Amino acid sequence: MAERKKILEINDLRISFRTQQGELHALRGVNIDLYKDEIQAIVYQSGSGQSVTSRAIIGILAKNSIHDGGTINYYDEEALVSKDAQYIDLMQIEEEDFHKLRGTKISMIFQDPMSSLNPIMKVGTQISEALFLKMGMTRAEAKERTLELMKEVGIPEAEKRYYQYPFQFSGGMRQRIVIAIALANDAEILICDEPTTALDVTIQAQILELINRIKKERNLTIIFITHDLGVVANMAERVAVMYAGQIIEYGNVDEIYYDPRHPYTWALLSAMPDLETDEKLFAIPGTPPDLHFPPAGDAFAPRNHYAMEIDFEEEPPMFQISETHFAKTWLEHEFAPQVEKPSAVVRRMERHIKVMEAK
Amino acid sequence: MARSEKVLLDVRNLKQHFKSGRGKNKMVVKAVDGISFQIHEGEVFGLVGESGCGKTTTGRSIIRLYDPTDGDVLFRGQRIGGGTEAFELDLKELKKSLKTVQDKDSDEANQYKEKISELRVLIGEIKKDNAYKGETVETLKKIQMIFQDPISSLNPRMTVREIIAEGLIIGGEKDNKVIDEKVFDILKIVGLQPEHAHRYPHEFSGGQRQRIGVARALIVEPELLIADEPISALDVSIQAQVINLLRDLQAKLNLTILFIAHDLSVVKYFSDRIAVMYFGHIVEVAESDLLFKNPLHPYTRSLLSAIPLPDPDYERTRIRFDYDPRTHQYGPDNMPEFIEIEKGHFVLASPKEIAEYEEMIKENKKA
Repeated sequence: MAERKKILEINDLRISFRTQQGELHALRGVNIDLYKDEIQAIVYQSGSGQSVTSRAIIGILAKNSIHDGGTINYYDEEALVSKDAQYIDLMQIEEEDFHKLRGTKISMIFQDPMSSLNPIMKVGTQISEALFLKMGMTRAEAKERTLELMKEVGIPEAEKRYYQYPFQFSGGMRQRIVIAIALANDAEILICDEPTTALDVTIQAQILELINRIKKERNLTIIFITHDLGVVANMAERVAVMYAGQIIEYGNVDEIYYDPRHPYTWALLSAMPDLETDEKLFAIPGTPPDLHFPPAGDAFAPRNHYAMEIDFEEEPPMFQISETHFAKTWLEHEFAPQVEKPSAVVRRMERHIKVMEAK
Repeated sequence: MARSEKVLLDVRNLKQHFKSGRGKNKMVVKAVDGISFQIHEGEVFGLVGESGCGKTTTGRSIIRLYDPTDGDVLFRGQRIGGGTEAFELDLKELKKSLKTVQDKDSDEANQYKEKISELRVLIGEIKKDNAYKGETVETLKKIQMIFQDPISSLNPRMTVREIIAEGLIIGGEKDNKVIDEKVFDILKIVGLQPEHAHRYPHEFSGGQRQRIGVARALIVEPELLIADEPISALDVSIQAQVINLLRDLQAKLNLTILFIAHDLSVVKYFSDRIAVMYFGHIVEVAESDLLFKNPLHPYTRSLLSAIPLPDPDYERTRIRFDYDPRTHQYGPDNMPEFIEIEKGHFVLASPKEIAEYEEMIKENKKA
């Protein structure tokens, strides 16, 4: 892990929004390291701040946002923006400089392929637009490159499809177009915000395979935001679990699924049945906290029956469990009592041990 | 879970076609094209398939939100919905043939006339059963439905009490005290507070709204509950709440549930038996453990292979394969039929495939 090159680094990022009810503290100190050529997943429950994180990286935060602190450092090898510094802080640079990065270095695909495409523009034009506006290609060159891209993302009869409108495409095909646009300028980092939620299982599987394939072909670095733990298990190498504007657990995919430490991760893992679940599902009681008034201690404490007194008083630090595994819970403190993990989690761990032994 | 062999709902060769346009532009969408299954008393029957395969249409045809094109829906042996199209086509043919007969008093003509009158009686009976009155209405009350989207399926201008009580009031209940009592009781059963009765839907969270939908369905004491993707619009942790609620209620009230969903792990967890649907046809029905252990139809196998599970060990070894309906090579001499291949395991197969599948069952039993 140490040899891998860091490409993006988010340090203690804090972002709030001015709303009618006061300031909403959407991100309360997020730390993420992103290495080259990896797929990192962010798992969340609605309203945890996952979208704010991705929007901050690509620089499309809403106007009412306030940057309370922290940095997003992008390691700019080609020195597109600044020649002196080793890295640039994406929270500080001017919009004009951001133009040099957006699309060419960092790109994003969204959940709903219908609303991220222009309905009255031919898809070919939409893809080639990025090419001749940014890469300085002529229209003929752009068209040729577009057709290549369309074939790369698996659209049959690209020559014919080039002149069609988004409504003539199915949901899966539309998402392929969106991916083609995102990749048009050879971006290094691709942020996928729930790219398959609006799609059917079989189509979802195809799109995930496509993302995996182009990731390998192009050495992409991917941030994959999803609530679907099945998709994460399929795609990600490292996983960050997000709750109430903070990363509460962070580790390799095996560590998160087979050795989870934070009670919220336990809850998430036992809330959905897998093919062997037989007992009652664990439902997380209550609702996420109102981030206009962020709680003093551990944000998950009021919904957590493992919560101790200190959870309500003081925010836990990130405890390091292994070289790659971190959890933000007082249960990892040396004075914390031993607790019994939920049975669904224990069973999962046992199953994994069996699998490992079989190998 | 209580299981019995008593058939509660019997769907026979149900077809639901939608027509649009006229003349040249006439289009017929065969959303459901001849499906048959039985739901036993006290069981949870899962219906899975990709979007657009007709699973929602099936649910809606059973509860008569649509009038079936053809086939019968029987509840405890009583017909609550039936299609007449096939008979009406026959009738037209017969009338045409009658016209071609020269002698109006010949035996041939009389035979036709007899057949026509028989058909007319039959169609009349179906239409009578289809009408919203008498026994049909009484029986339809015993089937209730909960919908996918808890936001759009609740009227935003009605209070929770009005929403839940509507079914009772339509059923003829006039005493406000009785209504209040029943509404408060049902709210407690689904895990809400009686105080919630005077609020409006927008004041609730997604999970609570779905509880209101469940309460509305349960207040008329149904025997069959059709749950049409009740959890797909909800957040992960809230999904667990709603599944737990349905499971508890099913045990407590001995409900029979038709559970329509596309999430296979949830369906497996919740259902006793599962039917897999593909483009208007049911391709396989089996007990849920059996279906997952021993899937026969290639579409079922492809569907099972496409679903990501929250288990990285499994995900690393999972190989997905696509289903191509052309591999069946169905033709006039190789038509598929829906048959019971082993006890309680039905599959859509042509004579050639039956042999293949039987081979697979044998091998699986050995393993």
